[in-house]
Amino acid sequence: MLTKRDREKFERLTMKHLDAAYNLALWIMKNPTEAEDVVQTAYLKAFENFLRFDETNVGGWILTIVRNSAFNLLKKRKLHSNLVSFDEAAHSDNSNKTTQLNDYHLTPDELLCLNSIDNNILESINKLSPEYREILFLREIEELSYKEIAEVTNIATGTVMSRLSRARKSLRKLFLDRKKREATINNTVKKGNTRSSE
Amino acid sequence: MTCKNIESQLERYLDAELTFSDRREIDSHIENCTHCANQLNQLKAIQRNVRNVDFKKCPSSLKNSIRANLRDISNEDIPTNNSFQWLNFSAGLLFFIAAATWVTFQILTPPTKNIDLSLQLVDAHIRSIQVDHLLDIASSNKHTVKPWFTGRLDFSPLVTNSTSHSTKLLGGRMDYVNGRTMAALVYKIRKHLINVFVFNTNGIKSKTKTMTKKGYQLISRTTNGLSYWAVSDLNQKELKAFFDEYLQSLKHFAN
Repeated sequence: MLTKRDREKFERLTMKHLDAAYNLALWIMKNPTEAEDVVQTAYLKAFENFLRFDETNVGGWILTIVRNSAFNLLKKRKLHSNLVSFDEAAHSDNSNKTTQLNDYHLTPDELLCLNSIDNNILESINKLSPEYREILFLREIEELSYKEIAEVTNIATGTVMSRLSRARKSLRKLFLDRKKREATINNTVKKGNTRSSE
Repeated sequence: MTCKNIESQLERYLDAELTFSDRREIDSHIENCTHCANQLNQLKAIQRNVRNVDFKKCPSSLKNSIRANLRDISNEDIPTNNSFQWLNFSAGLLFFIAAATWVTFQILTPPTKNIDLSLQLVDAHIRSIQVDHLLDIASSNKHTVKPWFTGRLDFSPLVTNSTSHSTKLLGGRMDYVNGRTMAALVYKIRKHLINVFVFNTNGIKSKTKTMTKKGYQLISRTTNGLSYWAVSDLNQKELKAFFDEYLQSLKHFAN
């Protein structure tokens, strides 16, 4: 039975990871209300299992429960259907051989575009599959190592590498596609303005 | 090392997953190879952009709600061994008194005083969805639902129409929980069902209480001899907003 002392200890150990937990849930769910539900459920689940937890790597433990809760909710609500498809077969342990970035051949304009900081990058990130968003968050925001990501997501380290690589490739493509669309719109507007001034 | 070999390691280089000697080898290659340097710059650009995304602060309402729920789950009345060791001697006596009180309490009070009422209401909520006994009277009109209870209960539950744009009254049913006959009013917010259980109590007026049981949110209030319990899988914030609105529309709460 969990006592007041257990609760206080649990809070002391886990509440400092609440921001990370919330952001991970937000990256996976894309919706603040659902992210709050996920974190709430995950923290209660973690507390219920607290006496069985060996208290090593608290952050990793919390993030694992949060991501499991998030994916359970996604599975339940079948939200995967309207997202960029996630090629599970491509994430086998042997797939990392094929996931290099050597097919990156960009024009000078694209390079310039990629190098600039884009405040709307989230728009492109949100078009990725939840699995890609998760792995990008864990690597780039939480700065976890491949081994730590493998532990949190319960996949092999080789799969972490290949999934991360594919996530980056997909993001790069979405990012550049969006930039191209924006450039086309801007050019159309400019042409329209020029004609009207003539 | 060829460019192909270097390229295959660039991401691990970026993610600091290479040994020192491998890193040095890539460093020296990149200094003399614009192609590989270009590949690395692309990776860095993507990384820079992703890391530029705002890191949100967890809402304080969520933090407070989690703390409240944790307190609800833990048994705060149980003393810890260290701080209450001096009580060990009298533990037997206390246990005897408690047991005697409990037996007396069980004999003298009707079954309606069960402390696990919240859990039983959650079970009733789950049952109502699982066994297809959600509604005895299906109507979104309170003037249809409310009279249906007349003669079936020794009180008249207060029924509100949809409290807001997103809330819909589905109807009501009779339910029997923990030895009590009660009214269950069913509302819907998006895809979330809410059971509002209303029953007669001799209880003292109580303030609004929120709790989580088995992953479901509960919110309750007792007034004028009637107890109102809303149970749902909706998040606590929205359930509270619904419950507040529901109570607002009841005249005797507004006063």
